[in-house]
Amino acid sequence: MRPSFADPFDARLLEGVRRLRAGEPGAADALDALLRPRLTGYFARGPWPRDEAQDLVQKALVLVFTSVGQLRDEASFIPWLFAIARNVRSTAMRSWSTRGRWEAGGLELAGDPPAPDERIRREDAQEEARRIAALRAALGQLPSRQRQCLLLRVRDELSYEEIAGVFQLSVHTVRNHIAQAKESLRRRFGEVFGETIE
Amino acid sequence: MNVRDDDSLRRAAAQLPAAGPCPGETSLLAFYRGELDEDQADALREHLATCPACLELARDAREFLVALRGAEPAPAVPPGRVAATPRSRRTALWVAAAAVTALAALGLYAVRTERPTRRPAEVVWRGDDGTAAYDAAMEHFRAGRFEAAEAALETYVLAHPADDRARLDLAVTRMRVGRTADARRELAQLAERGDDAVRAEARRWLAELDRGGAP
Repeated sequence: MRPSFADPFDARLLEGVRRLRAGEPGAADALDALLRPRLTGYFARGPWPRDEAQDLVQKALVLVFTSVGQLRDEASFIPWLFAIARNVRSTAMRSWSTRGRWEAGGLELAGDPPAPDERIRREDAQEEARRIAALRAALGQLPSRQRQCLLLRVRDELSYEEIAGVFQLSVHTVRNHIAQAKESLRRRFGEVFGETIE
Repeated sequence: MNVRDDDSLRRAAAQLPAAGPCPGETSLLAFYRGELDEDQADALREHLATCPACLELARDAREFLVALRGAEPAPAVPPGRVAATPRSRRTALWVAAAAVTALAALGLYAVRTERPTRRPAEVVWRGDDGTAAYDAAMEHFRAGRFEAAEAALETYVLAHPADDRARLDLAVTRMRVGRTADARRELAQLAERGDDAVRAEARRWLAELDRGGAP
């Protein structure tokens, strides 16, 4: 197993956090310089403009510097920093979403109820339930890696590349697993419902 | 039906129960930092496939780590010097560079007794897609700065985890700096999952490791 803080950046981060916790002069500035560009990269991914992203970075850094005393040890800094950054970003996302809806004409206008699914209304409910149960059983019997990749493709609509990134697999492997899963479903499901699967 | 557009399949997928307990942020970060063993990683993948909330957290954790590693403002190569090199040529150059240093390194490796505890704080990241980090890694490797090459390649691989060719390069570089256990683990994975060329090369390097050699 690879040890934590094994790479150069982690080693510098560890040292910076240690110096900050020890109250060494200049430690806060050094850690700020190390973290600010990286957090900017994290907060840049959002619906907000660049200056708002900088405000979020500042907010996260203030939290880091004011609560670093609560950190158990230096080695847990990265999970701790992630929790702070994620919390700041989630709060901002919720706030931004609400603001956007008000600006669009009010919450009540933005929250139209979803249109009823015409197809399901037409279909017999029992037939649909039987169909879903058969599919659920078929999914449950797929080999685990095939099922994992297929679920992210179908349920979460991730691309092959995204699935490979999330699961730390090659795109080639993901592609193969999904193709095999489809083939299994095609055979099994076709026997039950006489349908083809693409 | 089309598996991607079929509502019934989507509903069936959504009804599958979550496998195991939610892993939490620390485990997810450890997964993307390569700190979990294969059994732990498999259990985590199974959970992610059945828990949309943890999948969302996992994607965020990965983004966070990429951002954390990706903003290093220390270009070791002047901008534009290697950025235009086509990938296929880069790979060919990399292989050539590895071959040229192989014989000399074999001798050095035999007398190496200590594993380095720290590597230079030099990670390169200029382009949005990380291509510059890959190019810089090759420059470092060809110049004999193997530890810097490893650091730059780690940056690239973090942003491109599915690039098996780069993972192979990283494993070979790790052999070169004495991180043979890490190299062996990565090569063993590539020997099973890479494309034909990567698989063959990974097996060749594994055999080399078994013989006690290094690139």
